[in-house]
Amino acid sequence: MSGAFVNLLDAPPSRFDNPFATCWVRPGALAFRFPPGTTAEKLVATLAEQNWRGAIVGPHGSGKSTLLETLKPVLSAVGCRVHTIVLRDGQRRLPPGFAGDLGSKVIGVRDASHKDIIVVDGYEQLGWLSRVRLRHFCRRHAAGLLVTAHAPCGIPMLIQLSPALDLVEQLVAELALKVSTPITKSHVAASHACHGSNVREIFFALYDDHEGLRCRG
Amino acid sequence: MTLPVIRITLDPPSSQYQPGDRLSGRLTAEGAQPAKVRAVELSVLWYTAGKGDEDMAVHHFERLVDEPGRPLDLRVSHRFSTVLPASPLSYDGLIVKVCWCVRARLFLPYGLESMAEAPFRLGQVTAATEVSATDIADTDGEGRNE
Repeated sequence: MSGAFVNLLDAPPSRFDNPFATCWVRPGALAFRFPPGTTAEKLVATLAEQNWRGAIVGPHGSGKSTLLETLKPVLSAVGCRVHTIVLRDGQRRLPPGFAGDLGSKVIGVRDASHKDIIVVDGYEQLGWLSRVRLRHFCRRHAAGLLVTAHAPCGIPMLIQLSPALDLVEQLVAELALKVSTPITKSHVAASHACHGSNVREIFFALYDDHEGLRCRG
Repeated sequence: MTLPVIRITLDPPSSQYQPGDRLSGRLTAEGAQPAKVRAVELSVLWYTAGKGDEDMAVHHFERLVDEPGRPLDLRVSHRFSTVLPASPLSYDGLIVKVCWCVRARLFLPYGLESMAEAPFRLGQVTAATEVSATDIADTDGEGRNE
């Protein structure tokens, strides 16, 4: 990916040692690559057409959270107030006090010029009762609902993500512009063959490949 | 607008320090006059970089502000100095790295920012190396022979 790679083992360690470190690949650090013909603005327009209900569907590590981070400023630009709930580690229930805290925020300052959007990252982790509560809450407060999920979940699909090899190659090339790497297209292809659409796992594997090559000089 | 080029120069002997050593240097910004600098923040800090969650802490911090009567002119070098702590020591691991640096952030008009870093090493922890299964087997064999 870069012919200018040099062995920096004698230099002090820094984040510039590996382009696949968290700081370079976390959601928001790497720009989301939209499929041809799709833009953030078009997705927000589609979300509005779907009565502000939409699901971003894709397997682990396919870029759902990255897309959410990309959509948030666009939603704000069209007058939406975004309220985010991030569910992690198999969290099957909504956060304690969810209805009260969010209800007071949404209801307390509701006005005609704003649309409230509840964004749930990791919706598939919620149990059915929590999902019913959440959807009821949104209907009651006329709030939109934008979620990420691993599979269709009863909310109109906004986009389905399944990163192909050429997209991963583009992302790796973009990372290599920031930090040089001995990683080649064959490493990327091998990692993609192993991990499929899970770009997060691909980056983890390439991180290890990069460190291995770096150690061997 | 052309962003100023920040230069962080660490005083000799090198970018290798031991706990308790004094780290000193100077900060300048070339071309700082056309793009007037509103403030500059200088930090001596450590952070982790790697595959997992990240951590960081600031050891030394100073903020210089452009004020009436006290204009901030970074064409003239600004000196900084601090005594380095006992830990964490720099570590070049395979999964995680502990990195020390001097970081300068320039705050410019219209919300523009410019940043530069000067990495250095604290302590002398040996870098991690990959160990193959063969190496482990060889080591086990040596142990048994003893």
